[in-house]
Amino acid sequence: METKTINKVKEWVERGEMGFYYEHATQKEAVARLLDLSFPTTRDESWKYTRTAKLAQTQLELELAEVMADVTFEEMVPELSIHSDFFGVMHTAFCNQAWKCEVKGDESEHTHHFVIKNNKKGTWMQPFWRIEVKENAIGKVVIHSEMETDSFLNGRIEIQLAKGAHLDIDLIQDHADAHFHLMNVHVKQAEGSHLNLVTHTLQGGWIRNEVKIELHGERAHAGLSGFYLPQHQQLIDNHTVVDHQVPNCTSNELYKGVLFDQSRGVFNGKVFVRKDAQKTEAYQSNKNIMMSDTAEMDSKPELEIYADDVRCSHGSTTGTFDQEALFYLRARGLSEMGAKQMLVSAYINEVIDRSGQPLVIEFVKKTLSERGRVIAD
Amino acid sequence: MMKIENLKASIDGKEILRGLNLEVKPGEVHAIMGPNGSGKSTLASVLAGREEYEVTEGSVTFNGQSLLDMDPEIRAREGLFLAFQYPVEIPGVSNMNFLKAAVGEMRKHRGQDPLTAKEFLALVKEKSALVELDGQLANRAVNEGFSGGEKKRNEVFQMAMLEPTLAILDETDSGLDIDALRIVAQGVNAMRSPERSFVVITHYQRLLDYIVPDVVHVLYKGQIVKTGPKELALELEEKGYDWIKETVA
Repeated sequence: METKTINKVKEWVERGEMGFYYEHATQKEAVARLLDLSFPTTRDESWKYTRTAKLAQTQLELELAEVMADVTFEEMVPELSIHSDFFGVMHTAFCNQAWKCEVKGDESEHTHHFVIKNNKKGTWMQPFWRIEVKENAIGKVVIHSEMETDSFLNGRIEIQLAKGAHLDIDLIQDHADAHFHLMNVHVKQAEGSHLNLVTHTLQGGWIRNEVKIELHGERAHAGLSGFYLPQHQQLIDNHTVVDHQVPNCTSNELYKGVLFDQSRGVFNGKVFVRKDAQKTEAYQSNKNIMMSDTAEMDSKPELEIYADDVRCSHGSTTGTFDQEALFYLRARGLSEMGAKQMLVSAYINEVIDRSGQPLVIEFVKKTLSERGRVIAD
Repeated sequence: MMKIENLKASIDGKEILRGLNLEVKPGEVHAIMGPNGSGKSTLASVLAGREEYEVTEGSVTFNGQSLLDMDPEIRAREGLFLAFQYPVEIPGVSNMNFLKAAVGEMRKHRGQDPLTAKEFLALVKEKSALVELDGQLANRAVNEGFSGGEKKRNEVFQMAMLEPTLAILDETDSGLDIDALRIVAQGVNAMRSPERSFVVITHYQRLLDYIVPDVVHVLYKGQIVKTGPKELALELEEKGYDWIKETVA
């Protein structure tokens, strides 16, 4: 597929103007590789339900994003590696901003807050974050993206949790309809570490979150959750992979969506339990409410279990509102709209309340309520 | 208060109410009894505004207005209350927030100022005591994990909070043990006043020992076939509904 993005890359390379941000051999290697790869389309299995044509045809210039970050995020030269997927290779080739946040002790009283913004049309951003929580340390991180205009962010967050480390991390996504957003989150967890990741998708025109969690140390726990409330013609896609590599780990996953208008939602959740990962407990659930006949949800849970002594469950439900509940609330004097908002809040609060950061919970609920998406608690 | 004239209603093309007439005056308590399938719950549903029922003929006037033209929430704000036969569990919605919103809508509709948080809590305390509802229940999600008795007490508690002018109790006695029945009836009786009317729908006479009606109607095949004083309920209990079926036939 000929695309403006690929053409742009070719043009840069031919004119010798590329100027890699970090003089890495990997960046050059990635560019060479990128030229051989084709832009993903819905013919690719992992992009089956997520249209990319519009993104491919958008005119973009590589630029730096505006950031406001806690001082604990230090700019750094990233250690880039070559990935197999198109956007991963693209990220390596053109990564132009990187930060590192290290949590060394009990920092549960401090939030490492990072706000990334953009309000310039036609920009293409390739940020990279590395978050390391050292042995037995406790960290709280918020990455808040506020994208206001036609642009594309191809971001990557690498998280390393050492032995006994604990991390609460919240992603708050609040974007204009014209913004394309791809966020790849890759977590590696050592023995006894604890992850609590919550993705709060307030709004966005096109968002794809790819979360991959590798549990490589025993007794590690991964909690991952997210909600999405797409409306108009927005598309929200959550692809997750939880990889249980060793015994005695637990994971608990909950994604919930309420879809309005002609919006689309995609959920693809893979759970791998490797042959040695006995005594694994892995739970996954994706639930959706369709608020309109023209909205579409594609939900695909996948379990691959190679160990025999495990407790795993997964479930996916997509349906309409509980009409009895709606009538009950109206019969007590609530307007139809008010009743629906109340039910939507109740539905997604289960996800928001999983956050380990009370200020985030308060902020997200308040923002949704001010926008009339839900009724305040 | 409320006047129902020649009401006909059907669901999925099947006619359930076949020309029902009923007039309820302020302060009156009417009992509607009848065998299963006679249309008791349909009547409650149609009055509260359930959309799955289609009214094909007749009228319902409520305080001088056409009730059937109103959305369910407007009926509620105008003072109609339905105590559900099967109160719905709504996970995630706290009883308190729900009631705060409902009371707020009622007051707005009546042109009253919103209650302050303190006034609201005082009201909750006063009204929950009426049905001996534990304060803890008020803080839980609406009906979630409530026992059958707690659900029905919660209905009466909500009724007390919303102060309707006409309350319809749809089989409020079903699934209640004798203690819960007594508490529910006590809550209802405490609310009786010259301005407030009740329509008590029940299959059994038992509830009417506690909530003593002014009038008893027998509903059969979608029509009121017999009306009498409270003693009619005892007679029905004694003779059973077959007696009515034979009388009507």
